[in-house]
Amino acid sequence: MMHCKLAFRNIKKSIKDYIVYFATLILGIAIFYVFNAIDSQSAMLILKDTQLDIIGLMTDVLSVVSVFVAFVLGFLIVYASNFLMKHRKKEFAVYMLLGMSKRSISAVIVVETIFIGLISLVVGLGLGIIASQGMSVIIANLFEADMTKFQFTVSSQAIVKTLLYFLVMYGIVIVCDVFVVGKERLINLINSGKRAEKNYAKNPFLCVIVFAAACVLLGTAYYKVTAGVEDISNMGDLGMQVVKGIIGTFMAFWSVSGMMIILAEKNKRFYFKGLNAFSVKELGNRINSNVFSGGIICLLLFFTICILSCSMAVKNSLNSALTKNVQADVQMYTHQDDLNGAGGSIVECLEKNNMDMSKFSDWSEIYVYYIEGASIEELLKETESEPDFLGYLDIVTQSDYNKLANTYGRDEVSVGDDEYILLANYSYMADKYDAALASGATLDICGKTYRPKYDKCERISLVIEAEEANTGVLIVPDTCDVETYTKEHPGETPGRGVMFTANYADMSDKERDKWDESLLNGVFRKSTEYGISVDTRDKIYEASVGLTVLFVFTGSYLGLVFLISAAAILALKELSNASDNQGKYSVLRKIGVDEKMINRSLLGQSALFFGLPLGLAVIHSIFGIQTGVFMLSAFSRDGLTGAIIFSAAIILMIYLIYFAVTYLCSKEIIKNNKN
Amino acid sequence: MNEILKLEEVEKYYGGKINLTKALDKVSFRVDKAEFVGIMGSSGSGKTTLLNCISTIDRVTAGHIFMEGEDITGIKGNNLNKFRREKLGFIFQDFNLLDTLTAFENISIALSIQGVKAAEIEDRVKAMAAKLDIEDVMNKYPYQMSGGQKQRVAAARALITSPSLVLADEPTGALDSKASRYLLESMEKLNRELEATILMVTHDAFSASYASRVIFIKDGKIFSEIRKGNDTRKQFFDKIIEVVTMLGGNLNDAL
Repeated sequence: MMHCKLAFRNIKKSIKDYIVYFATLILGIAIFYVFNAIDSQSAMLILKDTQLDIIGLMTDVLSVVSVFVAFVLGFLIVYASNFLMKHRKKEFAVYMLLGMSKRSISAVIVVETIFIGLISLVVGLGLGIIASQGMSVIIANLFEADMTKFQFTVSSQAIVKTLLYFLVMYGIVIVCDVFVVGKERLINLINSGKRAEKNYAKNPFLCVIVFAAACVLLGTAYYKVTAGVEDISNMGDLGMQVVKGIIGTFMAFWSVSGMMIILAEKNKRFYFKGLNAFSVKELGNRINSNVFSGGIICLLLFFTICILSCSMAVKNSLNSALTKNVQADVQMYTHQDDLNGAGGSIVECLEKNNMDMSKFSDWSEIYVYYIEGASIEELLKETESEPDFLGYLDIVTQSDYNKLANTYGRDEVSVGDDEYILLANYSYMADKYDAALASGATLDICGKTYRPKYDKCERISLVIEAEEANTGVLIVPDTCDVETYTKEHPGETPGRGVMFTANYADMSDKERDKWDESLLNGVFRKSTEYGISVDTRDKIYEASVGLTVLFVFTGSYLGLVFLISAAAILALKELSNASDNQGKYSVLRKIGVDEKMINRSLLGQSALFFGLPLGLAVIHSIFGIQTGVFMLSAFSRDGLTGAIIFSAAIILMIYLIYFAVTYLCSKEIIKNNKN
Repeated sequence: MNEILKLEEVEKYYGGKINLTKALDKVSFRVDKAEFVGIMGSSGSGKTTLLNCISTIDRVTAGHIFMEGEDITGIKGNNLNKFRREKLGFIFQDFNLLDTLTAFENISIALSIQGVKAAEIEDRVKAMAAKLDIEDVMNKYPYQMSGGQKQRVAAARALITSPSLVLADEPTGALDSKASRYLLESMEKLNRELEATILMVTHDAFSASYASRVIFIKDGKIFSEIRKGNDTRKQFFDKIIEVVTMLGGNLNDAL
């Protein structure tokens, strides 16, 4: 009973020190619950099978991510509680002097942790349950699902999971804390208040060198991942740049305060004005004593910015790509190895299976050929010594393409007798093609040489798809008899594809769904005889939304957890620093420094202490996002700006809240000291 | 003579009606320009309270404190800081230097918060450092200095602004005897050469013997007061010891 009372009083007394820790616990628990409750949140929605599949997949992915998240949060919690324990050593010393045994002190800690754990779990889960109702709305929106019968949902499964994970974490915290107290000797605990006057001032000359080296490291890494990105051929090379970036970050944090002090001292009029010298040195000392955590926080923020922006960008680009790239309702495709055999028409097949062709307002059937001479490496042989993509280019005759263009509602094309037109929208390849076309790359097809009609490829695709992944389609004149060539060389060429594209005639959504269903799951699926693959506009849309949701949810889950971890560590450091520095501020007050001056100095220090990691992370991200976009180049870049602005707003908001709370609390802390 | 500080019937009470403690009970005295006044008293005699009231860190319950004719018990808010910044200099028992600043910066901060120009700061700090013989530690941090050096840096910080009054709270309390002697000699020298007015609180008779006048406080009241006059320091020290003995051995830690 005494332990409970003592523990309860301790928490009440030091609520200011604990507020950031507490808030972070609650946020962490709420986020954990929300992302683990997704499947039950979506259970009330009326979703199609494909959408349910996606939710299932997403649940699986998120539960794997949750394990990782649990590790991050677990580390954060253990770190934070350890950190707070260090600041309470003097209190434990008093208990021990009063004759309390280590066992009793440990009991107090256990009770305290259980107490904090219970409150944070209750509040966090409560917050999570409320927030997850909002999540249902978001899911419904993303899937354009019916939200008419909204109901308040609580996922018992997610609650159990959250409880389990966090109880394990608290258990680890208890073990660590009890261990810390257990191994300490009384004399060390008593003396812990007397902080050794440690000074982290570094050799200025060394700082300049290290800072320059960090700049060079980061600069080359930045260059390699953006301007020089095309030379990066494998993940190893990219990993090398990431390692350079990480080392550069730590070196920058090691040296930045030294540089800052040198620059400030040079500018005497700034340095000897008001408390500037004090602020600069205090900040410098703080950064110097936090090189490692500063670097880690910077990298966490960098990952957060990149993950959030890239996942949002993928979402935005998918949305815009859909309307741009999906220009027909249905597309069916089959492949013929040997043109001399039977089959070869999807229309015939449809009619044979009693499909009512009048349900289509318009349709086209075209052939796509693949021939030895028309390959990516042939096209690029003049401009690239070793192309990193290999493969055939699709060949379509002019009249076939124009049939398709009519179905798509595109403009018709015409090519001269010895000309070709190239279509490609996979931006990485398209850029290379443009260079080749500009230099007039010729191609030998069926024994005749063709030259490019335009010096750029058309950035469109032949098929309906969500991604921009067309790596090359050739349009050749009708005089180029690829049909005969393919027939005469059976076995040498990969044959030809038959592509049927159609738009539905006017019909209700319900009828349309029925038709989709019969095409997708009807006769073509049941029988392997035809080997026809089917895509419909709705199917692509749904798959794409699924991909979007997967990206956005995983991205924001990880991003949020990283962000609150980084901000919480910074806030804890800043608060403990404020309580360590109480004495300094009271000295300043005694020698007559105005309260306003002190607050300004504190604000400047906190702002830079929070701002530096974020600043470097932003610089990293400018280059990191470009690389991310490059790696996702199948997605268009249309939505990038919006995504970055949106993510920046979220990150800044959370970060600023942590900063504001920290500043206000430390202002209180330094005020608290009398004398 | 020029009057710097005058206390009129200063009272300071702590606690409520039931257990009222009179930390200061009708204390009156005056300090003239260029005086070096020692205030002696045992622990709990009220000398720290007195210092806190003069430095406006604490408020008096009744009475008035005049600083160069101005009643400082009426000053409020930011004007208090301004008053401390411009009129007072502090030397503390535990130095209270800022550990992240070099000696030079510790001294210069007293000037920079007054808005003195950078170029002037450098000259004035150097001149003060020469007087206190701390030129060779100017670029060192507190943890690299000895206690005596630290306290002289603190003294330089207190005196650099040419304050009307320097308040020293047990300045030798954390120093060994050699460093104490050196510091006190420095203070005496500054008192003489710069005509700095110093009010030093101590319970150490040896320290007090460097002052030109010593005021004894017991239980919040002025007990007695002796002047050095033309005595040598040794003779003055003996007089102080006599008073301490009279005080009833309350200052048995006087030596």
